This record gives sequence, structure tokens and C-alpha cells, in this order.
Amino acid sequence: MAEWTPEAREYLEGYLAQVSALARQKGDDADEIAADLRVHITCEAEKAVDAVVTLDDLRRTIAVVGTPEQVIDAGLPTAIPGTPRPSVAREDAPTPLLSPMPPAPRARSSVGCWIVGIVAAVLCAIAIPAIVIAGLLLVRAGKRAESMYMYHVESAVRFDRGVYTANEKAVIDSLRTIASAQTQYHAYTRSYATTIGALYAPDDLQMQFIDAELAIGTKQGYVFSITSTDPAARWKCEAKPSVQSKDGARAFTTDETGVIFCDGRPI
Amino acid sequence: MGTVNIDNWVVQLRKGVLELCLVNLLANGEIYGYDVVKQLARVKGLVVTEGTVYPLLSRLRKAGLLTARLEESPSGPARKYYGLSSEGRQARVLMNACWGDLLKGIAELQKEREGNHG
Repeated sequence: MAEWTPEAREYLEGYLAQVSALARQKGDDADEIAADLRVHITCEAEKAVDAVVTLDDLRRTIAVVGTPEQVIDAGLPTAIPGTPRPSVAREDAPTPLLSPMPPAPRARSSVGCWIVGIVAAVLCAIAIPAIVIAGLLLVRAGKRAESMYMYHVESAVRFDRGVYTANEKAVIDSLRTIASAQTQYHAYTRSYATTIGALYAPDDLQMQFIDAELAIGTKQGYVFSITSTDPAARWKCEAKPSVQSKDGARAFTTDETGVIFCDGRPI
Repeated sequence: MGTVNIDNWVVQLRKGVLELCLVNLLANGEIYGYDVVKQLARVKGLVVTEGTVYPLLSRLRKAGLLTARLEESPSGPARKYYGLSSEGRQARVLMNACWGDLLKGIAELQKEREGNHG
């Protein structure tokens, strides 16, 4: 069994945490999928090296396995504005078309609706304060995730580095959009975009992978910029607060693997 | 005139065919999950990114079509083996019959069209 560098191990945990969060959003068995992926990635990465799995080795493996969005097919818009075709990133995440015994449609009585509504309201009233209190306690304790299992208690926006502001969540969503857009751009051009503006061609509907505002490179008080040293295989997008004291102190990045980083660490 | 784009059609086709390939792959017995992915990835154009097979395996297992069991491995983590349940076997028969009918119908349609133009 090969050794792993701490950076590679941390990167894998961040990747699996993002897969789990998206799987949970979709209603999938997040634990099972993450566990299967962990075994697969570990086998692949260790097969390719002699002694030590580095971050680069892991990134190459994840490029074959797929970004969290590609794997789970969650959180993507059904169609990108101005783009008449479906997202390429969605294509590789099949939803089962089969069911052994499809349930016949049943008419639901109005009494049943009321009961379901009341039960749901009661459950929400209990669950929401519990989640908020648990989140506050975790933040106060300053605890970090030590395994993927802590993600059981989180929502899609609760990551191991704490709770993000609404603006920061929007920035993370924008980075996810850019990662998905890069996948589509690569499918069309066999190369990644080296500038954010390249992901939106005003005169070509087929080449509008992101919205016009994001393509300018400034959104949510953040400046987004793409760099690439090898456009055929790699890219990186940074989102830095334009005015640090006003818009937040944390910078976010993503790359061809789709993993989102906050201040250089996977979220 | 723009270029023809068949992405959407390919996506929909691939989704259904991937399930068909999966149930046929597992028809002869249980297979280690990692090997399931590798064998499906050998079919050209079927699997674009390998990780996407795992959610499908999980969803079909939850739907009762697949079985899964863990087996200890002397080297590394326990291995998960996937197989077809009895419902999965029934589904496989129906799917293959449907696929055969489709292929036959499409072939006849193509033949008729070519005959008309020939």
C-alpha cells in the first residue's frame, strides 16, 4: 500500500466531502457513493505510483473519475442562459430509468394533505433550531472535520471550515458554474478557456457557458480570474474579494478537478 | 447555418444504454465494484467519467435491482461486490427484449428508407 502526502489526503477528503454534499442534495446514499469512490480513487492513485501518492497524482486520477458535479449531477441548471443545449457536465451522471415496481399514481385526499403538511411543519420546527444550535456549537468549538462522517450533520453549505456568509456561498456557486462551464468548453474546443471572458461569447449562443455578468470577471464583490499553464489539461480560477474589509476576507479557488478551495484548503 | 448538435440525444441514449450494459455485465455473477466501472469504461463512448457509475450502482441497489456485499481483502480496504437481484434478473430479460425489438424496428426502418432512395 502506497503512502499519501498530507496534501493529497486532505484534497481527497475535500473532494469526497463535496461529492457527499451534492449526493445528499440529490437524495442519494451519500455514504455509499463516497465510500465506493474512496476505494476506486485509492486503487487508481496507488496503482499509478511506486511509493508516494502526491497531490498531482491524485489530481490526475480525479480528472478521470470526474468532478463532484459530474459524478452526482446535482446543483446544475437545466439550461445555461442563452445556451439551447444541455450541460455537458450533466450527461455523465445517469439517473436510474428503471424501477422494479413503479407505483401507480394515487389520488391524495385533502385530509391527507393537511396531515402531511402539519407533520412537515412540526418536523421543521424541531429540526431547524437543532441544526442551527449544532452548527453554532461546532463553530464555537472550532472543530474541523476529521472524517467524511461529520458531513452527515451538514447541509450543502456547511463545510468543514465553518459557516460561510450568503455572499461567500454565492461565490462558491459561481465557481461551481465556472467549473461546469470549463468542462463544456473543453468538450467543444478540446482546450480549457484561459480567460473568464472566453466562457461567454456575446454573438454565439453555443459558446455562452456562463452569464454575461460573471464573464466580466466581477460579481458578488469578488474578482474572478482564470489562469492556465497547460490549457489542454489544466486551469485554475481564483475569486478574490475586491474590497477585503467590506466583502469578506476569504479567497476561493477551483481547478479542473472541480474541488473548491477556501484560502488554499479544500472546503 | 449552424452546425448540427446531437449532444442531448447522445446524453439520453447513453443513460438508458448504461443501465442495459450494467445489468448484462452482472448477469453471470457478482463483480467487484471497481471492476464493474473498468469493464463499462471499456465500451467506447459509454462512460465519460468513471465516477458516475457509482451513483448509478447505488440507485439501482436502492431500487432493489442490485445486491451488494462486502468481502474482506488481504490487501487494502474491503471489496464491495455487486450482483443482480431476482428483480434485476427480471428487468434484464425485459430490457433485452425491448432492446432487441428496438434494434429490429430501427433496422427495418433504415432498410425501407434506403430502399426508397435507392
